[in-house]
Amino acid sequence: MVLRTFLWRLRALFLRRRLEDELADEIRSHLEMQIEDNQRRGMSPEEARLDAVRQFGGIEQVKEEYRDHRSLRFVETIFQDVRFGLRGLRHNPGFTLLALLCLTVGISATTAAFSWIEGILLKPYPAVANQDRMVAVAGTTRGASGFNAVSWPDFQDLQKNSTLMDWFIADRLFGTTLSVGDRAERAAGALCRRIIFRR
Amino acid sequence: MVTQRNEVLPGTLNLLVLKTLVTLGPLHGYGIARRIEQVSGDLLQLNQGTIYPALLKLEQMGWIRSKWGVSDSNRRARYYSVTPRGRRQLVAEEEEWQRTSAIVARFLKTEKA
Repeated sequence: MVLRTFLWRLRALFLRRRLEDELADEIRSHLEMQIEDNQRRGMSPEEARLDAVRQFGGIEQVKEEYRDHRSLRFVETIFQDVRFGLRGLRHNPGFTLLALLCLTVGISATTAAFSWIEGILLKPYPAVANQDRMVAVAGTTRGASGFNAVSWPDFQDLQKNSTLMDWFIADRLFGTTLSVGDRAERAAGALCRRIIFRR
Repeated sequence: MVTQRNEVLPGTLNLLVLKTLVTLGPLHGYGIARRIEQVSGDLLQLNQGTIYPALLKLEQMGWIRSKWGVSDSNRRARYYSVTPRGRRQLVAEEEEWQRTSAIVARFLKTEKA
């Protein structure tokens, strides 16, 4: 659509009622002029009217086609739908209330569920930016399957020496029980389960 | 009526309307429709109503403008007049149409060798 046409139609959107009246007036005066001419040519008033309408073609079709080009039809239709919807809601307050309630419950439940999922699965470390670039590191024991925790000194070595990663964080610190000779000693914060670092 | 009346070819209505307005000056929709029928020697079958969507489109393109006025028979009517841009458009469309019809005519004249 050419810009000029678009602007014209945009303007027409706000003059809908006036333009509609003008179109009706214009068609009416057209028919009257034709009727007058017909009568001047000797037709009876009834004949003249029928002939005028016949020559004009379908009045409603013309109006519809006119409306299609007059303004932005889809915007007009949306306005109409919204108005219609609001009217319906006003007529039926019980239904409106129920619908509102359903929407409220539905939306809050979905939001809550999403928040959990986001917190637990998608962004488990809220203070870390660019979580998609995070990787996890765990220790392994030669000859054994599975992963185990990284010791605190190893973690510190990684932090100090790695040039590949920006930063390391320990996601959990826990203690373990060490056996020293014949006694057992509780060492707090000696191990971290996992190291998270970020490039 | 014995003679066959032709429908207005799609796309030619603009040309007919612009030409009418340039020739006759400001005119209402009924006048334009009557004029087109008369000039065609009543060979064109025009649903007069179709003139209005066409006029609207021409106005949106800025080729014509409209104003409410009073007709000879003292009736309120909307008068359409051509704009300077409309005149330029008419020249362009006339040329285009003449070129097209010349090409078609040349094809119709060719005979089997």
